[in-house]
Amino acid sequence: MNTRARLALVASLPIVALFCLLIFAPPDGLERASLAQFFGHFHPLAVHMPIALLLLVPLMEIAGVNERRRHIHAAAAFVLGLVLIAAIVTPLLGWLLAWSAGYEGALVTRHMWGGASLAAACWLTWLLRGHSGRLYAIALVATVGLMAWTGYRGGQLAHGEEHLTQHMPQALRSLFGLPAIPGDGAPDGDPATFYGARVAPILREHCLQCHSAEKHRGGLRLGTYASLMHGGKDGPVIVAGNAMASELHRRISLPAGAKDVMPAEGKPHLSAAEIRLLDLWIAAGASASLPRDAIAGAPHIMGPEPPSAPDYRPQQQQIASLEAALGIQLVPRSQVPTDGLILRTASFPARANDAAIARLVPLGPFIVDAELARTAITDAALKSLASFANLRRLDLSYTAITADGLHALVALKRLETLNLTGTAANAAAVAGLRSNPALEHVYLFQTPAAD
Amino acid sequence: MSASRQSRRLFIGQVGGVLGWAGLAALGAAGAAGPAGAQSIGLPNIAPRAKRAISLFMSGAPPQMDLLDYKPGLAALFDADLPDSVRGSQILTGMTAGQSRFPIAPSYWKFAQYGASGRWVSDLLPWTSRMIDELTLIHTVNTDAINHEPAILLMNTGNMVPGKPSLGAWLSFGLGNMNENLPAFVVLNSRLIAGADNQPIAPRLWGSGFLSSEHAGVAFRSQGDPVLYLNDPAGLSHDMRKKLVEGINAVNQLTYQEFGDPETHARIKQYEMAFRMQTSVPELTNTGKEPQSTWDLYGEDARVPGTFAYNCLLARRMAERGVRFTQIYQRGWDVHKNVVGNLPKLCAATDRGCYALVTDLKRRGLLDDTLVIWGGEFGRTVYSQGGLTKDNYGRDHHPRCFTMWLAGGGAKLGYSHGQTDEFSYNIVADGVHVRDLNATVLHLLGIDHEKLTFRFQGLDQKLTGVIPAKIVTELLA
Repeated sequence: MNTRARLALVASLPIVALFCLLIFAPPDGLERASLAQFFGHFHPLAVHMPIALLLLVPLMEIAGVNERRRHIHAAAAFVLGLVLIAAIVTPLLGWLLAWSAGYEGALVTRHMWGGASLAAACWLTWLLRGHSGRLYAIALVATVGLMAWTGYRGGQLAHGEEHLTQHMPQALRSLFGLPAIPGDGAPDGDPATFYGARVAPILREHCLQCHSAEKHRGGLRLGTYASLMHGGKDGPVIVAGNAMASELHRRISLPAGAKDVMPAEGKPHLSAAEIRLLDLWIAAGASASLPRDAIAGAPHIMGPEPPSAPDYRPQQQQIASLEAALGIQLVPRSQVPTDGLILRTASFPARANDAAIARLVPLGPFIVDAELARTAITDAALKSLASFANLRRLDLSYTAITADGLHALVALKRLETLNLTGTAANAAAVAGLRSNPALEHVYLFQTPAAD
Repeated sequence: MSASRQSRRLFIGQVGGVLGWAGLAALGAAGAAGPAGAQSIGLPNIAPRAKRAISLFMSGAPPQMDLLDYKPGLAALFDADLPDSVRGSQILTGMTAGQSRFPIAPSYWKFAQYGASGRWVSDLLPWTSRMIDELTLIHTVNTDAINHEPAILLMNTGNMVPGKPSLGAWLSFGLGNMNENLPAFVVLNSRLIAGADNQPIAPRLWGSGFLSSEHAGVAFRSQGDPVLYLNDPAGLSHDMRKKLVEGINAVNQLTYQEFGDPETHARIKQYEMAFRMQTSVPELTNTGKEPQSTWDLYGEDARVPGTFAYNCLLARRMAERGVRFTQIYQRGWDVHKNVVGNLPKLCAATDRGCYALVTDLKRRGLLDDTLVIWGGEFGRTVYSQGGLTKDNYGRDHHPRCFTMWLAGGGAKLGYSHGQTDEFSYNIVADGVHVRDLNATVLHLLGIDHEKLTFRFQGLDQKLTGVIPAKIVTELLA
């Protein structure tokens, strides 16, 4: 028996042990000794080692084909040896983490079998190197593929199931056959019910990353009404009719930093209004069929407001060149890039004329506030402005626009404030704008409409 | 830049400044490169309710119980001693600490309820009472200082010690100019009122402190040319003057490249601004084309340059032209004696201007995004300073509670905040410290007061200081 064969035998022992652990001691959602957890939590750290090294091997093999770089080819063997060691240690740590820290679910299981298989694949690849060039190449490619699959599952565990896809551009999404809207799972609960409309969204936002059908830490799944009421390993988390006695209430209302507080691991906590809403629902019987507005005084949790405008940042070059060319300013309304731009003309109002506004049309959707008081615009500019679909505030004070020209503004569905001070606006023209759904304020000081 | 030519102090200051600048630039999406503290830093943090603000500063401190903090119970307590329990352990000023007794002086004037909100306003403010539904009254502003200079500094700069930037300078630094031909921060000092007790004020109230000098308020004069030397002197054409400024700036630019002192850069900016103001200021201050409706609203006083009413009209014209922050000072409110004689003069000089400004901004559609702030540096005592008769009393400084008002710019219409006790001496509920007020004002302008900072003397300095300030959310519409 040569050294290489002996090494292969030694390396195979922990791999066999790993498979035995997966079969006979799978993670079961219970938490165990903290020393095991301590070592287990090094898994996410260690995991980068085999990934990086394994990716290096094919690169070194390819580079080493060239006669002048044979030394790289020779070094690949050493790196592959390191890969084998790392690929054995890392899944062992991973098993320790899953087994001791209360993991359970299909996603964890898939990731673990992937990891164990990867260890075996690395072992085989290492063994094949030097025996058969062709078989070795096939094994190496297959091992890298397996590593990508396993790594992706691990990423889903750590960062959420859609960590790679949720911000994917639409074109790519359709290429991969993904649903058009980034799905947060099939909506559970009828939106006409209190549970479906108001409770489920809070659970989805704060809890499902760790307590879903795919990954249920502590055996707790919160993705559906039935699983929520069923509870976890330690029993139900909701006592219908008694919020204070419910484990769910206790966990989410603990102070930040407390041992048992949920969401754990520094994830954002529920707001006071969200906790109160869950409490009210539990106190009212935690029913799935309670109508959505049945509890008087339940706080309304606002979802994120729809953005005022698209993110202007990709247009920054165009913005800068138009600012320089036209003597106007396009100022971000705030540090939030979807709050839109202000079209500002105060420095050189005379330069803001019909031609300048026409040149701004490509940037129209980004402009939410147009300050055009005392500028040189006429009705022609109003036609251009009609395409500024996200315009909310428009100041036309002391411009030469006419009553007839104002008709173009009926296209501005988001317009909230229109300042016509000192213009020729008359009552008929203003009446024509009544159909603008968002228009709240029209200022008519010193106009025929005011007389 | 040759480091060998730099002084050690400048070099160290500059390294600190560059580091500070790097931090600030990281905050702002639009932070352009430039010397520390010289330019806007890409604020606001959030979409603002107000784009600009106007401060109506009643320097000297108006007596709250004679104007807006109605205390009907006092009439029955005429000349009664203010209970010791109310005064507590408070240290009084040297002007009244020696008084043998502290007799209660009820207000000489009648109050009545006005507007849909039914709030009580003194007969002294007939114009304010007409717009009472536009105002957010804060009855419980309180300050740490009991004398004018520290109190007025605290109100304007957030600190009793001189040398800190004023609110307007912070806004110029944080938000920048809206109109590059006018300063971001303009100060208008109103004419003195004959017979009133005029405390002095100094330019440090609108100074830029450790921020670059170009953020300091530009004070317009109340008489003669509002800004001196705007007209080209005889024999010097505008073109020649332009070349002169360009030449000076070229030399300054060389100096800046050699020494890297940000103050040189500030000087260049100031020369450029002054040159642009040669045309923008005459247009701004030319009220000749104002329609009759303007004079009907502001009154004939507004035709006289330097009056409070005239300054209110200028403030509206500046709001239209994109000045970020305008501050009007009216001195004379320090009514230690003869309240009955002097207070009517002070109110007559200011009441109509305040009303006209708010009303004018509103009808022109500017009040939505202009925050107007009215108030002094502290309040005045309910007890009389010196002798007391029904129609002759004086009032000393009082820091524990006083009334200010906000209008427009996202402040809550028709709302009164906070409650003082029956003597208007102590706060019963919902006190608003000066730093809380400043945090709230910055919030309305879209600025997180914790993030508008500048590193100086080893501290991330900010308007609201190191003691935690809170945004008074009840004041927000």
